[in-house]
Amino acid sequence: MLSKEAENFLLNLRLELISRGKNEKDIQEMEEELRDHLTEAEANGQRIESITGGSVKDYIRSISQELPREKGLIKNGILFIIYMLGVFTIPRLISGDFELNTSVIFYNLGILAIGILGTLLIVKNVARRYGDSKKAYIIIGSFSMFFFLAMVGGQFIIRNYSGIILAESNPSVNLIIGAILLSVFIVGALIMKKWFFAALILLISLPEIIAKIVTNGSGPQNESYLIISGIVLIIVNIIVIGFLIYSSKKEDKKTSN
Amino acid sequence: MSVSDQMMKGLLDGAILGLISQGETYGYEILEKLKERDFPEISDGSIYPVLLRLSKKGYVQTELKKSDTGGPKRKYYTITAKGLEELEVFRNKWSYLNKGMNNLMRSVEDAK
Repeated sequence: MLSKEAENFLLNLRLELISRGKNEKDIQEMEEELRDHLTEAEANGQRIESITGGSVKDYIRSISQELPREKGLIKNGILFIIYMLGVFTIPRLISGDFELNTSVIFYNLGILAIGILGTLLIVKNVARRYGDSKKAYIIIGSFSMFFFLAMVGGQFIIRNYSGIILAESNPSVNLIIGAILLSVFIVGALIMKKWFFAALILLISLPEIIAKIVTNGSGPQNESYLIISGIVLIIVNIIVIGFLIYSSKKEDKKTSN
Repeated sequence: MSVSDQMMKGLLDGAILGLISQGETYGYEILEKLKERDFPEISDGSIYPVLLRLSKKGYVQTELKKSDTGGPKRKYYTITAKGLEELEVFRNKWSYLNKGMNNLMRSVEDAK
């Protein structure tokens, strides 16, 4: 078994290479090779400095230079941002409670920036400094909490301060646009064989669809609508989290074999 | 990077390719062999960027096998035909360089 210092080094290496857009398979192979080396080196009484030559940062950079970038990184990045915008807007379009204004645009851009770049930056730096420790989980947990509160606070602000309205809210037009966009996203994801993303956007929109059907086309102003969509949202969360835990365990099993 | 560091970097590629040409081997073993042959001043990890580079250029091929120590899977390296050609080029260049540098350094010694 490797020392905590060696495990931290491998974790750092993985995060740094991911953040530099390297191919997942190459990262996995590099990590396995260094793990093998460190296992043998530590069994012979050597320390992590023997690998890095003193500077972990410089060493990771030298490895990174030799690894090619993931193909289609920019294209996939853009597709992911479009997908996330769909995740934020489609459920609200279906509920009929969507209005395109400057606050909504800034809110979505802010959430994307904090959610993607902020999370990557925090996780990378915390892992570099604290490794796989209790402190690291507390900091990342606190950041997630802050992010969640910022999302809730942001929702409160955009509902009360709409800024400049670019397109008026019209429940039936919203519903039609939402349904068309949802179909486009699902078909698009299926064509690209990303069935998880197709299922995820459908599941995220499901609370609004079911509440809409059950309440005969009401919106979030109706109390029954809110209760039904709330219950379905909880069920959807349980399904998604359950699936992620199951696939992560399956992946761990595959790696250890 | 100092002149001597750059020189070492270039030589390490040839040295590792030479070691791999002698038979299938893996990272830690390559390092041990380099140390046995008194290859100077390298940190243990510096061989991995070189191995990646050699692999990328198609001079070596790799295969993952289960480790005999029961640890993680081990990556084994073997030289390719392209790698053998490159090694021949390196050997010739090294012979010229070695001869030239020895002559030059001897004249430096004589001047002292």
